[in-house]
Amino acid sequence: MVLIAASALIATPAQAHEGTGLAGGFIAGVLHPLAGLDHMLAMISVGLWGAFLGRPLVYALPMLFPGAMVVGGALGMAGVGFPPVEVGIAVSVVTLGAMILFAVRAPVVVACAIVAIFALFHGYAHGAELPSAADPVGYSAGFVLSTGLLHLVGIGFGLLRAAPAGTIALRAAGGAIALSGAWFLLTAVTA
Amino acid sequence: MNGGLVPLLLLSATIGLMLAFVPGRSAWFALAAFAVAALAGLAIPLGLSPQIIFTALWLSAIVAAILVYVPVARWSVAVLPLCLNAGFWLGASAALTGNHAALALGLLPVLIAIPARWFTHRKFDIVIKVIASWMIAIASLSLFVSLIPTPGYKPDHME
Repeated sequence: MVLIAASALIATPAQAHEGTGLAGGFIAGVLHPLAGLDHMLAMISVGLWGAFLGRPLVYALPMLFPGAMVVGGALGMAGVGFPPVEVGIAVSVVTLGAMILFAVRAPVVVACAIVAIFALFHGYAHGAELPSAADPVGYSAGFVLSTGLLHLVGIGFGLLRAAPAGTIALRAAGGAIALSGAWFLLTAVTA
Repeated sequence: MNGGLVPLLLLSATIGLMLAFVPGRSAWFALAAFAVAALAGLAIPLGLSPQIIFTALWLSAIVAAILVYVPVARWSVAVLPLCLNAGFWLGASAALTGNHAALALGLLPVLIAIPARWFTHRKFDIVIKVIASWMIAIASLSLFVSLIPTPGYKPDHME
């Protein structure tokens, strides 16, 4: 993985696309999920909620997310009609934050369905932007890796549950995430 | 532009992840077959368009990554053909770069099988499965983006 990341860093897309004005390449892909707070909070929430739910969802949710995101991405690339994406992403932040806040222990199928549906929205947003990227392969690799790492960050935070008052702190964090999501939703609806 | 070294590295790494689940001796045979097929793919002029070669490469990576989730007993007989197929497309893709050193570099990530086996032997194979899910996503997106004509994928002077 280190070799791939290093090569992707070296093999930037700019050689053939310099001056085209297209965003692109591995670094742009890595930065993309980090650039939007709504995306970032949703990704971290997926890992955090998975950690709350324990096995098998602690790893099933982060594994499911990229696959569903690809389906959404393909729909976005193909320009297939979709419900308002920004609203869907904001709702994902509210919902996932609320799941953590209220420590909802959803059944495996329900949790997977919730995360898969939201992943479609996030994937759609990425996919709709991907066609405008130079070096889409590097860009895809970058943003999938970045998304996966954000899930791991969420799982890492989730480990705090074992600490004294850890559960309270995490649920409070879930509340803050849900509130942020409500703000994103308000912004998306009124825009 | 669907070229360069990254697709080769990703396919090679995915084959390495798959081989982490294959029992010892079969894995070494498969590894050798992968390398030999890659040399054959580099040496044999195919006359195929880059699009077909990269489509085959990404499909090979997707299949290899999906197999990580299937108990190895169900697909152990297919290990050798899978590695021969993947190696061939890796070599063919390396030939497109016009630089034979790309093949050597492209083959290196298959050695991820060695640390990956450490995880599978200790029942930490979930780590490999999470990485495989990322590989499926990257390969699928790369495949879609090469099949759906988009501003970012318009053939340029390098193709």
